[in-house]
Order: sequence, then C-alpha cells, then structure tokens
Amino acid sequence: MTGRLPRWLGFALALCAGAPDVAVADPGGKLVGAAGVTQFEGAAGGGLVPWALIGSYATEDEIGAAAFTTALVTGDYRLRATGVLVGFHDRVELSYARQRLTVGAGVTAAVATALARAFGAASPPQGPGAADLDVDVFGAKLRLAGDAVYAQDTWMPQLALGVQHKRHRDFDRGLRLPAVGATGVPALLGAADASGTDVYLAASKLLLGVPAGRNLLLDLNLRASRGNAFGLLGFGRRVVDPASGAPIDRRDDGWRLTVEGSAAIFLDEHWVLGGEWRGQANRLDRQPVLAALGDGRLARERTAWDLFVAWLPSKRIALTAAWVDLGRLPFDGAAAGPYLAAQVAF
Amino acid sequence: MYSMRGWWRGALLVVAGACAVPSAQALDPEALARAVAEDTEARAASDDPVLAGLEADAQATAVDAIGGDPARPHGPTLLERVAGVDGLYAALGGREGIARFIDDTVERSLVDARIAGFFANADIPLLKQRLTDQVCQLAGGPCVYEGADMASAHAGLGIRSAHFNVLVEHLQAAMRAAGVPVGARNRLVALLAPMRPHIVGR
Repeated sequence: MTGRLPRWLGFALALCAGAPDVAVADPGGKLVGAAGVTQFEGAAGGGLVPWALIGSYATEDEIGAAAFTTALVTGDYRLRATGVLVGFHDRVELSYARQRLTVGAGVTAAVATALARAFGAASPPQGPGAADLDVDVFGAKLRLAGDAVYAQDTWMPQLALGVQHKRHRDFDRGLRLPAVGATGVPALLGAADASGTDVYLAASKLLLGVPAGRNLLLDLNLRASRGNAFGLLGFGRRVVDPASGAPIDRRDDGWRLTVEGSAAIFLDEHWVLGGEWRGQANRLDRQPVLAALGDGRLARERTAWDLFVAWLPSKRIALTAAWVDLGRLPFDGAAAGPYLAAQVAF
Repeated sequence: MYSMRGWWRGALLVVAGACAVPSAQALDPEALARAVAEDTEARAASDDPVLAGLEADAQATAVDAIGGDPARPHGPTLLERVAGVDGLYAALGGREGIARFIDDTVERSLVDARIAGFFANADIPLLKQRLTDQVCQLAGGPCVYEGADMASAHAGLGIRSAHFNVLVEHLQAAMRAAGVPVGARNRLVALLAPMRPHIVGR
C-alpha cells in the first residue's frame, strides 16, 4: 500500500535493521514510553500532535532512531504516512515522512459530475478514479528547556521548538476533470502554494503518579501555519477567475495560529490511553469556485481529534490503535475512521 | 528539714513515675511520636540558640542528604502536596517491604553489565541499608537517612541519564516482583526524580 515509497528510505530502514548488534540490541537509555510515538507528520509525539519530547530513546550521550508507519481509513479517504526520525542527544530531532492521501473514486466522480453540470461540459462516462496526493514532510525539533519526565518538583514543562516543511508532489496534477482539464485536488480547492512550513512551540509535562497513582502526560502546542487540512490540501488560499485565471481574492492567504494538545494516561508501564485535538485554520471555507461544485463550504475544516490506545511491550516496538476524526474533508462531512500505527526504535 | 523516711518515699514516687511513663509511651507509638515532635519543637523554639541551631542543622543536613528541600522535609512533589502524600509507606510494605525490594534492586544492578561497575567500591550491605532508610524516609516512614548527600555520594562516578534510568528500571521491576501496586511505584519514582540532577553528570 505504500506504493511509491522512496527507494532510499527503504535502504535506510534495511541498514538500520542490519546495523551491528550493539545498536540493534539497545534502542537507547530513556525509560519506556518517554519518547512518545510518532505523529502522522513524522515528529515524535502522539498520533495527530507533536510533543516536546525528542524522538527515539537516545539520552544525552546517545543517538537513536525510529521508523514508523500509519494508516487511517475514513469513508472516502485513506491516509498513509511512513517515515523515520533521528534523535541526537535528547536535544535535536530530525525527521522525514512521506504522506499519501488517497481521494476515493466516489469523491472524484462527484467532483467531475458537478463540474460537468456547472460548466455545461459533457459528463464523463466514468469517473476519474481515485487520486493520490503525496506530500513530503521534513521536520526538525529543538528541545529548548525543561525535562518532561524528571522535573517533578516544578510546574515547568519541557519546551521544544519545531518546524515541519511540507512539499506536495501532486499539487496541480493527478486528476483529469471536465472543463478544468489536468489539475490536482489542492489546486482545485483553491490552495495557493504547493509547499509550506509550519512552526510550532510545544510544551509537554509528565505528571508521575498523579491521577489515581498513574502517570499522566499533558501537551499543549501553538502552531503557526499556512496549511489547509494539515497541509494535505496545499497552503494558502487563492481565488481565481476561472475564465481569465486572474486572482481575485487573496484573503486568508497568510499565517494562522492554531492550538493543539494531548492528554495520555499510562495505565501501567506498557499501556497508554489518550486523546488529542488539533485546531484548524479553516481558510478554504467559502471558496467561490467550490460553489460550482455544489457546496461553497466544501472544504470547511473542523477541529480534528482522536482517542487512542498504545501498547509499548518494549523500547523496540510501539503499536497504536485509534479512532480519528479529521473533521471534514471535501465531500466527506464526517471524515472519521480507525487508525493504526506501528513504530520501531533503533 | 525532711526526715530520712519522707525523702525515701519521694524518691520511690519519682522512680515509679519515671518507670511508668516510658513504658506507657512504648505501648502507644502515636503518643511517642507526638512526644518526640513536641520535644523537637521545644528544642528548636527554645531560648538556647545553640540547641535551636543544632536542631535546625540536623534537620537540614538529613533533608539535604536525600536531595530534598528543607522547607519540605520529605521532599514531596508539588502534585504530591496537592494530591496528599498518604499511605505510600504502607503501600510499599513498610520498612521490611522496602528493604526487600531495595535488596532486589541492588542485586539486579550488580549483575547488569551496564551499571555494575558503579558499585565496584561500594559496601553493598551498607548501601542497601542506606537506600532503605532513604526510601523509607521519603515515603513518610519513621526512618532517618544518615548517609552522605547525593552529590557527594556520586561525585566523580560519571553517571549519565542512561545509567540512572537503568537503575530506575530495576527498581520498578523489583517493586513489581514484590507486588507493590502501580500507583505506589509511580509515586516513589516521582519522589526520587528531584535527586536526578545531583546524581547525573558528576
């Protein structure tokens, strides 16, 4: 299902797996669970939200890595993400992830039909088929201050500054639609740019033994972004006159601040139960071109959230199962579904 | 002038009273604890600056030795204060239970190649006793830690976070094997956490 996974990523994973016994035998010095898992954009954290924890189990003298893969299925969309991260001395984290959003054939057929009707073009005999949007996410995170796990005598959380640079590979291609011709989903929905960078400030704190003697991890982030639907639908907003192609509206094109957070309880050393939410900027709402597709509020976003359970049998492996609600995706008013993720630490 | 007979009776009364009070207190540990606390307070508040100073010093030394804050003699975390440190000593199994899992922790550490080297010059039985006293005192038990402070005890050993975490893992495994409930395990680690800066990186 990963399809066009970059070849070098496969080699890197094979190299890690075949690394000398010492590296494979011990993923690093942190306590189990103290590295979080990997969120769907590649950074260490929960499932939706990055945390201030630096990824991998490497402590201040060590370098560690982790590889992850996730899959989310909603009614008309599938989201896959696969990636690696490297943690340096529990201070710096670098990550790469390839995301693939598969827009279902039902959605593209509905888009094609609506466009044909709006522009009086011939309705195609069959729909354009499913469309894939591939996005590369390059991430970096720097721990600024604090220790989420051991600073138990102060309210000060662990603080980290992170960036996620996302580049679309199919911004304006991948679909062939009546009246519009070759296009891509983000461009069609009114996104302005095929790439963008998110900047976030994360604060995480592990409260040991607090609710009913269990450990509780709390996280709160502030994110500045130009992304639509987590960047999966491009960046910024551009409304163009379909006839002349001239831009007529650049409102809501700029940066927006959103808030996201997590709460996770460690039931014991190996089981974690948690929830997350992620606010969205909702800049593609009320796109005039979308009215032609029958719904001006097609790409209106709602706050995404999830509930998850993670099993950490050892430092080597983490498995996560969740129910994720991405809010809305075009033509899918309730884009929610099951989510599975696996992470291997080196 | 008192006659010899009267003096004799008074002395008998005093001796009887002196014998009666300690045994009564021995039968009632709460009363004993109260009496000790009152005595400590009285000495600390006494007009004699030497006595008061000695008492404060002893408290501060004992507290500093376990890496705690003199203002919080047992070193509870902020959240422990909110949640209330209650029953941890009993949940850990009292001094006997603590001694058992501390013994297990040290034994596991001695056969773990990653950290066994740090114990090369240690008096193991004494180390076990000191650790037991430390945990007992931290958990609110009637013990007093009399060893060196954390920084001095670990100076020059080159302990890193990974080594500290290995010991924490062995402690957690030993507590699990001893049947200590998960809440007590987590609360003990929370109480030990503030010692980390004194131990790691020296």
